[in-house]
Amino acid sequence: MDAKTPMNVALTAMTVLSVQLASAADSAPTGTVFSGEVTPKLYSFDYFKGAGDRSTQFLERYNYQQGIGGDQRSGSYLDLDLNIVGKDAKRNVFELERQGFGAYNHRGTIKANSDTLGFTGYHSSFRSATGGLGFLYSPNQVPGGTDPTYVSANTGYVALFNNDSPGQTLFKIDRTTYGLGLALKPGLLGTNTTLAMNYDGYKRDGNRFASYVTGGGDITGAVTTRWRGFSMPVDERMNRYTLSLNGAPGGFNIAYEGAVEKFDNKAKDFGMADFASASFLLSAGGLTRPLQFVPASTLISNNIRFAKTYGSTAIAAGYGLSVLEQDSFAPIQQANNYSTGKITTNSAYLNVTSNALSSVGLEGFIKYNNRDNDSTFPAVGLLNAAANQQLGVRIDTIRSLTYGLAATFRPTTLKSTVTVGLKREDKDRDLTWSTPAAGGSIQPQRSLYKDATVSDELYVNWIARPMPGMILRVMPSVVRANETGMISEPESAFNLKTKLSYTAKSGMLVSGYINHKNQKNNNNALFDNIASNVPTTSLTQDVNKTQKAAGVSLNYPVSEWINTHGSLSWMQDDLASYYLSSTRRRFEPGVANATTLSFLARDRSTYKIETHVLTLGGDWQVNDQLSYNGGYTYSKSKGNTASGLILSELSSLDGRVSSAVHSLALGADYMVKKNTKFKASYVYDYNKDDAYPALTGGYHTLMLGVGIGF
Amino acid sequence: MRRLAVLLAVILGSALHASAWAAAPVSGSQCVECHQTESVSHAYHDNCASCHDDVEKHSKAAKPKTVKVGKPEAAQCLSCHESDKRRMHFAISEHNKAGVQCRDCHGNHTPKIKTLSAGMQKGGKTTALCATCHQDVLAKFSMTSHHPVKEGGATCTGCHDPHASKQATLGAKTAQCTQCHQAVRGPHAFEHPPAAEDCTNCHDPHGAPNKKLLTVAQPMQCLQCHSLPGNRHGQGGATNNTQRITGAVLRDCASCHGAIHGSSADQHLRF
Repeated sequence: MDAKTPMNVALTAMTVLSVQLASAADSAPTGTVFSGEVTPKLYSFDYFKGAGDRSTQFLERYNYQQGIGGDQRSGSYLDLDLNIVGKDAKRNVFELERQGFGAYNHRGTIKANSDTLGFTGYHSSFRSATGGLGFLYSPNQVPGGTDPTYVSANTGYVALFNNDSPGQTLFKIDRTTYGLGLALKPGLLGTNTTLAMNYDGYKRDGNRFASYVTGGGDITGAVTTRWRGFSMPVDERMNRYTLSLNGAPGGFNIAYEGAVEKFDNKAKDFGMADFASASFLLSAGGLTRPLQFVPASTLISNNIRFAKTYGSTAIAAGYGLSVLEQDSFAPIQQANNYSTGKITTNSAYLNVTSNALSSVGLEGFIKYNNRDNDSTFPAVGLLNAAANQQLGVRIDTIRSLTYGLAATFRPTTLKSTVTVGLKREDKDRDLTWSTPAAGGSIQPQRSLYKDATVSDELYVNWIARPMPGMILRVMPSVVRANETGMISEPESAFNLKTKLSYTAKSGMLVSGYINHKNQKNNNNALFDNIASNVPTTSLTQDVNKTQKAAGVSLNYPVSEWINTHGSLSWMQDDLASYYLSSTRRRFEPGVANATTLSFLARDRSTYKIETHVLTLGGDWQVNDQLSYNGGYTYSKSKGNTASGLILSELSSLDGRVSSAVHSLALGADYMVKKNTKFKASYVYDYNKDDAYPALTGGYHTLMLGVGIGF
Repeated sequence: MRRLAVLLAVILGSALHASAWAAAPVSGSQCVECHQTESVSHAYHDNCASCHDDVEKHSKAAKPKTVKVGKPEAAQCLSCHESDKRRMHFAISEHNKAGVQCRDCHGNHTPKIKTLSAGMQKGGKTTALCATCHQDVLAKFSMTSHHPVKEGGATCTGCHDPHASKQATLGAKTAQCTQCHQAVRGPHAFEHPPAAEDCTNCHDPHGAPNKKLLTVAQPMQCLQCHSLPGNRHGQGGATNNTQRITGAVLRDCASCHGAIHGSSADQHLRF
């Protein structure tokens, strides 16, 4: 950790405060006793196979390591774990914990507590190597920037790839989070009120691979490098300040929370003009067209919640208002007087539960959410329903109302609790579409996005305890929708979640689960000819999506000193939908909307991937001094991302998923004397990708540490 | 052997003290004489009888081990903790409705997760605790693309409040994700409706076999809603709906439509 960071200064200040607090607590009859453990650690690692020294390794996405000399393929580094607790007769008055797994993965917390005050602080850092899963598109990872399968004269619009950031092969982002909190407890305020102030923040630094495509009239002609990739800088900061107030005047629980969250993107001005060779990409008027512009923004939220119990009836209610405002604007937005970006969300809920009837518990709830788009509209020249290609659809408002009733019974059969509920969701969208006369516009008949969703869900939750230690959960639900606003919403759905677990007196725990989720939607249609707003023939999309999962696990204590566990999970994701094409774009400029646009269902394609996960592990306390632990995880995903016509066009790299990850972790602790413990661990990870062998690679990591207690 | 001796001493001690306690109410200090481990507790939890039922019967029994004390129900814990803002709606929380009691996660006397194996060191104790029940979710964290929970980059409670209820959420539906991913929240001049409505329309936050946590790989993810025009995505650019659309186009829609969550300047979400 960089000792000069503001966070570290803050943590130091917190430490001083905490020690003072602890000293104050020392005056208690029993005093404050500090204990803890400090564990310096030495790591040694080695990556093997993979894509080469100058490329991002697949496994670096989640485990980025770097040696003392800066070598990220093989090396050693030092780190330190800390765990210090100061305790008096009442509580832990001070806690300091740090866990380190290298310079790019570590975290720490600090807490101090008394009758009247509570302090918290935290810090964490995690580096993720990007460009691992998007490997195929990274500049210089593949000759020509694209897989040879697609490099030919017949690849259409995106033909060849242009690398706008030559030489950049490593992509990584550091996310550093930090925060402080102060709570004034009821003991200080003299009532049952708690006041808390929190600060949370993070920064993200690094770069990621990004791509874009240029526009233009020619499709297959001379300009073949429309598909462009580049190293996108990432430089973001977030600061959130939260004030919370809770109390229970007269047994009426009230909680208020107000927060101001400021997000700043310091890399927001990165645009096409930054590439000298791409000056032709400037938009009309010479304005710099931003690349994936991320605006700075401020979110202000205010929430208030209530809870009150009247005998056997409890009421919960809440209201929230949040306003998200855009703080920085792209040059092209400024030039066209787009000066306000604002989303306002109002939400509220009311929940009533009652056990007034001895045989049945009742619950009713209603929840309201309203999202208003208060941004500048129109912004002539940029965002304008009456202009060519300046609006697809604008979401003005999304208003949803969800309400339902549930009844809970407790039949003696199998010591059951059964809840039967009915829920309705009613969502209205106010949408603005382009003016038909504008040309270059999308009309609602040619979109699968609709303005209403109305669905009903019937669900049952059955929890049974047929024998001591055994719990059975069966939760089926059925959804039927009269209208759906999006294809991803179910017109009909059947969900089932089940779980059976048994804990024996010996400590053995065995459990299994079966989940099934199927949802269908053939409710939304496209219309081809919208002359005079009278659709003629239509084409209905038909999506059928099924997710299945099942698993078993066993935790078996062989003896008081040996514990073992294992699990096997299986997941299958299956989706089928039509592959739709049309003669021309839905908004073709210069072509009247009355012109027939012919949609065609070319094929019905299926995505189907299966995943198996096996875990085995255990720990063995050999004697008071020595213990071992170990675990192995094997995960394999396999299947096709499409079928039929689409699959026939994709190379196996894109059309097939076939990867497996082996993870082996072994650990040992040996107490050489009362306050000294040797620790060691070995981790081996190996990723094998049969669809794209270049991603295959692994690493070994060995850790040796000494835990010194006091 | 030493543990056995301690156990015998505890049982013997309990029996000897049982008669002595017969006339007086049970206090925490009496319990501690046998239950030393459990005595290490937070302030305000030093009266065993305030949480455990049948303490008196247990303490006065000739063989106390034969008379189990009751474990606290959630309602007992909430009688003190309900005024806490995070727990004031526990009664309507998903956990409570599923029959999960406070004691199932919180070890008041000792932590539920005491040690971590080498494979879970980075994930931490909170993640390990959630994983004891949510095996189906844990399995997803072993998929090709996942949030780095086991690796220490995120925690379950960083996204989920275990005491909260979906029926009592306030704010935007995307707020849960954009409390960390502010870069995609906009506001965008040109919005992509599924991204504006709910991140889970396209992403599975726990894990997926496809890059970027996509529930379905491209192009199928996108083609559920979008048709491909021949004059822009077709091989020859002709105005018909039957010409070949190559894999170079189909392989990754977001390579061209890079501003997939929303754009400041482009209706087609390219920039």
